[in-house]
Amino acid sequence: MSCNMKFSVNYSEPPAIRIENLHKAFGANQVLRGFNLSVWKGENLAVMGKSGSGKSVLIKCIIGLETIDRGTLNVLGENIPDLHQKKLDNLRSEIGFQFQGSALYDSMTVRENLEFPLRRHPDKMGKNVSADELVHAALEDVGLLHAIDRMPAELSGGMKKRIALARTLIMQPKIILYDEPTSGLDPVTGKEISYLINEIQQRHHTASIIITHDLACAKITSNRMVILHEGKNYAEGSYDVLAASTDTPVKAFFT
Amino acid sequence: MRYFREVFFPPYEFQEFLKQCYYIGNKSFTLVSITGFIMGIVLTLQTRPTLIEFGAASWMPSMVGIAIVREIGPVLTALICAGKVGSGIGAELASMKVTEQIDAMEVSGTNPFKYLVITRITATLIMIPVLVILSDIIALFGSALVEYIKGGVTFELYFSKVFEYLDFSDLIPSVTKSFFFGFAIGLVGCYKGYTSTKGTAGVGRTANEAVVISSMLVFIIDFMAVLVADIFYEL
Repeated sequence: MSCNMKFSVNYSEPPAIRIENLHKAFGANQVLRGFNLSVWKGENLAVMGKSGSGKSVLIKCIIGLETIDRGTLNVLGENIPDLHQKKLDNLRSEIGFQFQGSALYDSMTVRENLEFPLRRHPDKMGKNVSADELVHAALEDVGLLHAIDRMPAELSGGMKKRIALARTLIMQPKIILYDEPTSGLDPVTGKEISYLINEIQQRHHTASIIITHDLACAKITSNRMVILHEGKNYAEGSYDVLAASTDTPVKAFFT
Repeated sequence: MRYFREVFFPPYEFQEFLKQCYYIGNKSFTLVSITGFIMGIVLTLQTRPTLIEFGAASWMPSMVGIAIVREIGPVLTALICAGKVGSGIGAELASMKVTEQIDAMEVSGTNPFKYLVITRITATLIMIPVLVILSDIIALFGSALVEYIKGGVTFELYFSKVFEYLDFSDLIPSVTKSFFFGFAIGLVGCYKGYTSTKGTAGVGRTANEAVVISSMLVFIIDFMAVLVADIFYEL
């Protein structure tokens, strides 16, 4: 698959994620200062920014792992800060979250890792589909069916990322949030993961946010990029547009 | 407090609770058995010459029985479990926190507090009294073995002497305080693990603190239990 992937996005539809004037601070450290963003179904949006700029905090706010201080955070038509735990849990079943370190459960096999979210949301299983079939299908999607009975400790970094992706996909999410999907991987495996993100996009037609430092990953996966600088969306556009920018903070990411 | 607020309300994580009971019971059983057995032997060997000197060798079974059931069995077992189970829970949860597994659980629609904390505290609460009873029985067998080898006292006679002076009122405080020991060990391990900070370096520190604090709590609870039991004995 080439990096010039075709994205079919209907911008006239309401966005899957709508963020307006988002503020988030940890004590005196104001991380997000009026961040705005909209992501539509069918697009891959890469968010780049310096370490500690609040990229991971942003997606943790989207899934409700962090509370926001101020602003609007609307996901699939629901206002996240207003949701009760039960509703938030239901909404979370529509959102996949790929953690930076994969976050596979150490004490469970790959199969059990994939079954875990299914057991929590049995409604995600079709009437005539068993959990085992879904686990097999998700592992086939990421090309790791042979690792089904292995423990996470027996897997390489790249395999862990793929399994974590399979665990996300098994819930058939409408939105996928990737936190540094290629961090800690060699360039070749990093590219494999990036292409896999594109394949998933094509197959599942999700709205995705990809937090990354990796220019190659951003180039391969995104149809749109946002530069997060000083707590705000400093610049926005396609990879080629931003790469050609002469603005110093933007240029700093591409040199 | 959150434990008491959530333990009685669904969803109940029975499968994880049973798994934790199995881990705590199964993994500690060998260690608790060996130490209990050795303690029974050592206690008998150490006390025997003195009792013989005073012509009170026949008191050996009842004296050892009361010492083991009332005090040594529960405290020794609790301390071993504080070291093995408490540190294990602390390190496991701290490691899960560092590697974002707890966040992953929350994202998948699971209440991590219910799944990880309530199951573990309840499992230690249930399993440590069970281990204490097993440890008591094995320690008494160790003691009976010494009496058989050294004094030719049969097992039947030994245990009839033990139960002659040991009654239900000895067992109740012992088992009751074991529940408190179990609760304290589970609570400290879970609290330290769940609130662990400072990355991977924090994992080791958490395990260490879990052992130190829960061991200290075992002695404090034991002290308080003895004071309370003493009031009942006097009544």
